[in-house]
Amino acid sequence: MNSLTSRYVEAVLRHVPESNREDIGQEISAAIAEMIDARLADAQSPGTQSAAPADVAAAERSVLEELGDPRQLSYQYTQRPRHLIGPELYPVYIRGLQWLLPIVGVLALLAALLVNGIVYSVTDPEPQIGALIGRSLGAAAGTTVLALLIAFAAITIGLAVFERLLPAGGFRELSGQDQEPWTVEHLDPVPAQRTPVRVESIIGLVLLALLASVPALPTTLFYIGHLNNGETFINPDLPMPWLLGYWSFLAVLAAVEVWTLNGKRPLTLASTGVRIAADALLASYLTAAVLTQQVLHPDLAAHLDLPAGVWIVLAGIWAITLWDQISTIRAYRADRTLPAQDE
Amino acid sequence: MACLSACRTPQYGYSLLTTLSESGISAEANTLYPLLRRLEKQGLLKAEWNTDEPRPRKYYTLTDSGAEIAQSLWNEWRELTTSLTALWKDSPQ
Repeated sequence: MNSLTSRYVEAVLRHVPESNREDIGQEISAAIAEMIDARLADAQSPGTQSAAPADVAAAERSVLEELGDPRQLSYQYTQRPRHLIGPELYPVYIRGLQWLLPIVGVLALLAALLVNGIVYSVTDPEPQIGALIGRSLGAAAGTTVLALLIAFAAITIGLAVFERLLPAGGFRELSGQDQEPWTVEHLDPVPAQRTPVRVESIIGLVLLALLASVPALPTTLFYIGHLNNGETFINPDLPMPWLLGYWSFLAVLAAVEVWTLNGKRPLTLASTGVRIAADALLASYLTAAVLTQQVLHPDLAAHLDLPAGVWIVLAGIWAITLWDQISTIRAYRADRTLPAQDE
Repeated sequence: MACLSACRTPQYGYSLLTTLSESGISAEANTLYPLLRRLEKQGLLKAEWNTDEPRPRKYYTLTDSGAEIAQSLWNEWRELTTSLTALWKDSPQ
């Protein structure tokens, strides 16, 4: 056996199980020798006794190149899965992630909030509610992300190992899919309500509640309590009618969300129109407030003495409003494409 | 199916490659050799090294279960061919 062939065979055997190496090695070597002989016989002129060494080398090179990358050939012999999660386990993997990640995320967040909150309350000589929330949220976010990554890695690695331990079709056998054929009884009922729009409404209500609480938020929540002695972000001397107007707009938007939640058809033309109009009016109202009133707490405004600050705030308000308008119209259009539900 | 049909008479790797090629079935050597091994593992082919010849060769022959599978595949193939032929005739041109 000459050098190129032995190097090729060695490269193939490197990736096959040790128990089969000898047999596969002999088989490949014999196959290569047969193929070289056949090439030489085809190329040889009649009456010639033996091939020239250059012809043998060329035939050998040609045969090895026809056999191709030794790594690919070894994969053909081993038939090991060349994917992390195969099609048989993929639905289990996705369902596992859908169930596991939210549960792990919520549990990790709650546990981290609790532990960090207790540690802060016990260790800080003068605990403040804003710092307590801010510090606990910050630490809990990091812990939750880490827990989610660990859960993701655990289920991925676990199923990848499981797939490699099971024989082909083993999962179908284990899960009883072969014994129990699919029937129409396995079909889930059509949900009474289309959840995405309703989930969006619930999220919308939570965001509106957060926006409504902005005038009451203390600066200690974001570690800047020292700038105005822990008072609110909003100027306490802002005339009450401005705040009442702000809360009225939010109340209208909240009413639209409740209307969406309870309606037979989640997004009607009327509810979408009211939402778009209320959004635009709120943005105009906030623009007027920012331009005519001292909205930010005076102590904070003194520290953030930015001439362009007002315009940045206004650009932010209108960017958010525009984005909300576009997503509302898109949701309305998407909802039109679905048939109405019977309740 | 082509491999099983050809291995009704003992074949070694390269002779099988040639037999298939002469029948108009193109097969790559790097696919055929691992396939023969898999069929052997599944009990459809029986392999035996022949060291009587100047170059040792691994001969593959059909086992009983391999013969059954080959027959069943052959029947399926004929049914499919009959169906497709009928479909082709019945289809408007």
